[in-house]
Amino acid sequence: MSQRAQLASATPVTVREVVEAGRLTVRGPLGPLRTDDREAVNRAIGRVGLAERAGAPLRTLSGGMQQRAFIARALAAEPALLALDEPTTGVDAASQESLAALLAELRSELGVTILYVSHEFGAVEHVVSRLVLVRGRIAFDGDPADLPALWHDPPTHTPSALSRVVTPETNPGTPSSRAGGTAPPRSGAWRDKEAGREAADRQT
Amino acid sequence: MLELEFMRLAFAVGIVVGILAPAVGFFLVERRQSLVGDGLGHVAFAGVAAGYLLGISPVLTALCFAVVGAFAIEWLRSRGGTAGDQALALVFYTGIALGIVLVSRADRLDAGLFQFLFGSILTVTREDLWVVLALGGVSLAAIAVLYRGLVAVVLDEEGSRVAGAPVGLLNTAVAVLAALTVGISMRIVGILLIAALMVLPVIAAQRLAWSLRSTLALATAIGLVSVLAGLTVAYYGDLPPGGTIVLLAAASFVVATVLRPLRRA
Repeated sequence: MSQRAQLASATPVTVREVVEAGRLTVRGPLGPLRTDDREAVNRAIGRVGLAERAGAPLRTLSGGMQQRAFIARALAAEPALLALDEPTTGVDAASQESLAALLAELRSELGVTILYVSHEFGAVEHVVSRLVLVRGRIAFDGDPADLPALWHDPPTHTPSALSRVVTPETNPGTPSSRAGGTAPPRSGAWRDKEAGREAADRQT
Repeated sequence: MLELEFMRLAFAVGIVVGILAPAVGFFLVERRQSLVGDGLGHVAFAGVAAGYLLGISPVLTALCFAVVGAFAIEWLRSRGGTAGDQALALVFYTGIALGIVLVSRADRLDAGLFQFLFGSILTVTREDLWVVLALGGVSLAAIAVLYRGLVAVVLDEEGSRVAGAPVGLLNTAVAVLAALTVGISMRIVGILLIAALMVLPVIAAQRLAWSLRSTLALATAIGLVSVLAGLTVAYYGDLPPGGTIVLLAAASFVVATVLRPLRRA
């Protein structure tokens, strides 16, 4: 599901209409929505905190709120897995914080697994249960708490710096970075097919 | 004026056209395919010419040509490796070139052709009315059934495909609906102006609407008023109906633009 409005800016569309489109997966494209579809749409809108703006045109909402509307569209299909690709691009810091809170809530209350792909994971770091760093190969895979302290230092806290630090063949690095290199998986249970992304944090 | 049989027929057809054209145009405009109707109109011109040459109903051949043109545009756009506007250009110019060659061959560069190009209130027959009611009814029913799927494609074509919707079929359905609208509307609006009636009411409605549903409702209302008022003005002013109707639709855009700040306040 796209997380951005791809519409011509002239197109008037309400939050509810966007979220209703999410029921396509469940109801198919023919005929009107039924009562249970409408209930699922209302739940999804309420879940992301847009109940009072459901009838508002999407273009009158802030970037963060528009993003919530698109998350509600994904939720309307009542998914088991929510995949978010670079969801914080172009979203201000405050909205990133509330996005992290929302995702944590979705995980604990709906039990939905969230695959969160991003170049920066600052805002969601404290709600991530499994972190996979990828640069060509898996550079780190485990609990974010086990991430070497070096990586939290501001000067190196960029994706490219991270990759240099953890990839011995591209950067001989300092002894400390070598020591902090690839963290071994904590257990076999961490292995799965979804790890082969650019940089993937996974919440379960 | 309604005591005249031909005016009653024109108004009956006008009601269907006034509602159907903006309703179909809505999906074209929202998908940035505003000019597809125009391309199909030009293909319909070739169809009229073919009808002359074969000595059968030009409305029927125009309808067939427009439907074939709709499939061609959709095929070129989705699988032919051409961008949307290039696909349109191919079909558009082939249509008008074929049309002028066939018309000249049939030796019919005359006033009768002019009526097909720009519309006439005198030419609607009882048989036309039945065809318009049947095809118009089917088209409106199709829009009602497909509305949710079509809106999903408008909002996010890629996402709808991922969600398992038959996006190719839905796109083809819109193209065929546009072709049917051209065929239905050509008698009174004319094939060179029908596209305007599909697009202008929607653009005007967008300036005032707050949702997709309100855009659609407002656009059909503007289309209906434009057609009925246009026919009336054309009757009393002895003007070509197609041009009058489209000028009124264009005026609705100006009115909507003026009213827009008032709505926000």
